[in-house]
Amino acid sequence: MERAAGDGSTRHAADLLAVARDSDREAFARLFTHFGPRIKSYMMRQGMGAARAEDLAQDAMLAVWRKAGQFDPGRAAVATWVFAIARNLRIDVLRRETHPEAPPEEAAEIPDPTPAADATSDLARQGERLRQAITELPADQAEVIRLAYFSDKPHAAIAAQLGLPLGTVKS
Amino acid sequence: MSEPRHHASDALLVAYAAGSLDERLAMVVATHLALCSACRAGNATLDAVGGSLLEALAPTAVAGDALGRVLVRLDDDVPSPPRRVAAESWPEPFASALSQGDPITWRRIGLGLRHHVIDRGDGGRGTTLRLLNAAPGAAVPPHEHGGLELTLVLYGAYRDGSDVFRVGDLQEVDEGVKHRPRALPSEACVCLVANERPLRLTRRIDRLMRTILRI
Ligand SMILES: [Zn+2]
Repeated sequence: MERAAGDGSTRHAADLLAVARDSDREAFARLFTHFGPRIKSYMMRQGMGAARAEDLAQDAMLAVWRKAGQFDPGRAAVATWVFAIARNLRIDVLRRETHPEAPPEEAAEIPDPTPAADATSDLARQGERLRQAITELPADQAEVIRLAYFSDKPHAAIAAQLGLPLGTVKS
Repeated sequence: MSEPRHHASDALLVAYAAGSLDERLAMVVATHLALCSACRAGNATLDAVGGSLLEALAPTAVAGDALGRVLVRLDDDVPSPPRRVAAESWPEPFASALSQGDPITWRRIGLGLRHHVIDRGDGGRGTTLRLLNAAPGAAVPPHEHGGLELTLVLYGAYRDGSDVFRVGDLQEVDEGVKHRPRALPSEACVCLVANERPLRLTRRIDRLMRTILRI
């Protein structure tokens, strides 16, 4: 069994800060062990083959190393930050394939808008609450959320089914 | 600047956070986020949902040498990101995207409307992105959409039905909805507009003029 998620995310944050501050390779190895296989699953859920998902998981973790200095523990949980990196990497890769003529560096990632000033709540607990909320949803509704994040369905198809739990997400 | 009153829908924010939104639609949403703290907060929450889902995924074993292969790459030179020269007076990230493309050349499309096409959308079949510049009081001919239309006001304001859209406001018009937006009479209105598919003009005469108007 893994330890409670709250503990885990505190440990991840400490590791990521150690990577940023000290280029701590052991801390990075721990992050890799935890997130690498999950990023691989994430890529595979998007329909990628295992070999490609493996490559992208490695690339995503390399980006984690390089961007560690941008991590702000007051702004996002580590899992959230890693998710954004994996998502943006996937967007970049797909875009490069759709527009092969564009040089790779022009593939802009989803930009990080400046953070809201009031967004410094207890992020680990928020993450846990969200995870809990998703767990407690009826199976079909939880699947809608998962589909929304893990499949490339046109947004209109999903929009028809949303409205349920997301009204509670956005104030 | 005051906060926008017309926001991205939950469904749109979810698609954006999930990374499943077409890049032109995503550009409009991202630029709205830069102008709207409410949607930024919603976006942060939806990223956290993504983080929670990632955390909850059953891990898939990576190759035995995966860590080692990444460790040897840690000291590689990092490719420097493209230098972003943000054009003044446009909000980010649109400003950076604009600075990487052609300089703005407004093309007259009649009826007091001019536009600058940023993305033709995969040869005209896919989603397009453009700046639309309406003279004070100018109206877009009545039209409906073959897909989603996102409009973000960058300068001025326009009216659509009983709603007025001002700087920072995002209008989301679904497939099949007919409407006729009109710039307020006081000043010109510039909007960033993404259309999922070419829109259909509803009046026959407008349809006939379509090739001339190039709307
Ligand atoms: Zn908003």
